[in-house]
Amino acid sequence: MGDSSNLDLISDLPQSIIESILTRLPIRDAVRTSFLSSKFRYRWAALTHLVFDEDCVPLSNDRALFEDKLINFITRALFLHQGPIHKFQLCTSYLQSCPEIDQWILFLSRKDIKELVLELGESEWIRIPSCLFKCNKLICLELFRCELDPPPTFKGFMCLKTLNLYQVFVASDAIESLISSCPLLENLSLSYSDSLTLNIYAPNLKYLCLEGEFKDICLQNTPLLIAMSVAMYMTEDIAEHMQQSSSCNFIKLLGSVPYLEKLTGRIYFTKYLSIGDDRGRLSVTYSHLKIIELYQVSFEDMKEILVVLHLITNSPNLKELQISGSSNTLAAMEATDLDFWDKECPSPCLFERLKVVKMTEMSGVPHEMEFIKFLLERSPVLEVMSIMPCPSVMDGRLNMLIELVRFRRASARAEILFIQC
Amino acid sequence: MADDGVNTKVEAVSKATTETIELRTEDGGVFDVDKPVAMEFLILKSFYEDEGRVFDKTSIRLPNVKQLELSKVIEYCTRALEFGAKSAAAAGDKDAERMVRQEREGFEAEFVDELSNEMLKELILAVNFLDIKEMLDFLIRSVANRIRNRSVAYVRQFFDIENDFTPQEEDQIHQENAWAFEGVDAD
Repeated sequence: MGDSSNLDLISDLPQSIIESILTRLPIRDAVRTSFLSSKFRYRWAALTHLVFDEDCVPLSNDRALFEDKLINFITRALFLHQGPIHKFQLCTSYLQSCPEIDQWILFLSRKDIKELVLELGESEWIRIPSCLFKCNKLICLELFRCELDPPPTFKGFMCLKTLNLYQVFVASDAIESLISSCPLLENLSLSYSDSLTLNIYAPNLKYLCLEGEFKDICLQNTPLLIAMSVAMYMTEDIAEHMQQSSSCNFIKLLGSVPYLEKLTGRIYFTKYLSIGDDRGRLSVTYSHLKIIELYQVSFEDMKEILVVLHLITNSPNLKELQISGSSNTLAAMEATDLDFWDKECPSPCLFERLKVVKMTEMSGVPHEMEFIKFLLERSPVLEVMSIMPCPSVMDGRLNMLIELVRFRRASARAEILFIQC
Repeated sequence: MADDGVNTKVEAVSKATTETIELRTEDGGVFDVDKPVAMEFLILKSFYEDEGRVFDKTSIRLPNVKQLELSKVIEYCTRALEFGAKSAAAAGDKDAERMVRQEREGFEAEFVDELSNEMLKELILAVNFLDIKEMLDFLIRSVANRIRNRSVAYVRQFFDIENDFTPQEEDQIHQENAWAFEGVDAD
């Protein structure tokens, strides 16, 4: 048998391991380790990652009491804490705006905070206090449902690499200048901050995610962008308003992203891109673009499919293409101009790297079928073409299949998968 | 092959063409470990890289590691490398990626289930010494899972920690941290 001396196997582990263990515990458990032994008494207080949620305090039917307890818990934990705090996360729908939050943020601004995540309840959005803008070591900031109003003296977060704003009420010029004053910004995600007009100036930006109703987006300076995902909601009058202006949305969004590798567009994205003057062909080649995913593409809108064509013919290294349709079959069935594809794209154009194509929500309308035919004819290394019809289209499926079978394939290896659903 | 004795020679991943290295544990165990697996032990990796040595079949003594722990470490690292390769092969195919993930989660759950608290602690010490980041992370998560929501007495016993507080000190801590102890039952 081993020696009977009490081998305390944890207290002498390196602080980093103990901290890792404590960090993975709910904060309440971590605080309770103060009871274990004198060595442990204040170990929890040196944790640099603090994550709070409603599990910190026992459940209670009395909502006001529960809120008070939670506020008390967080305040006490912060008060007893020693040393820097690198991450502070508070996610709970049980807390609304309260004066203590301002104090917590003030406290954190003095503790070298690097990562801040704040997600509170929906009914009363908090106004982010100006002391947040003094957290000059911030690397990652995530805010949900709040009002953001940077003070005029704010010069930017010099270390900020990630910014996620979800349903944040902020003025267009405020967010524009916030973005442009964060020189190291690499990841930007803006969701549902409606009616923004954005000029994005972010020389180090690599990943961009935009969701919501934007009046106008222009990527003014994002030369290093690698991946872009846009879900564009548009009302009729915004679309009308855009038609009036002569600027070309395609160029504003995709005019200077030469290193783009992945593009994802949803809702009205292709429609948005199709708006505006497109005098003369764009001369941008997307030589790094490998994956294109476009959803809700309306194949009866000639301008939209011209956008699709434009994208794929300017991406010589495209490997994977996914298109989800959204065609109003009545209008689309009367399609004219079916030699559009060959007309717009003269013979030598081949998709030399295209391996996988997925077409979903297909209604079988003429332009959709022509597009599939077009791709099959011009993709010499294609491996898979998968087609998923729209669940509501039942009668047209056989016709779709009959047409598909006839199409010539440039690639002997190409498999056509018709996926029933 | 003899089981569970001193001087057990264990062949990890039978690939005749792979280079192996011999590791000796402090309690006499001898293991032939494939090079890719051995290189996951950063303590070994730096030994070879820093010294500029050629990877020949020298025998290395691991003074702080026992054979039971080492065999577990080798088992985990070998499977981890396999899962890594499977993940890479499945890249882009969401269904395949999910399957690999689930398979890995199943293996990890089974692996940790078989470990007693004692063994878990010993493994952490061994893996910390060998400097294997991924496995250390996995073990730390497993420890956290085992002590989460447990009483103070349980956690003390789990780590063999001696309670060196006087009753007055305990009272004091209770006062100080009462806000964190609301609604907690024993064990």
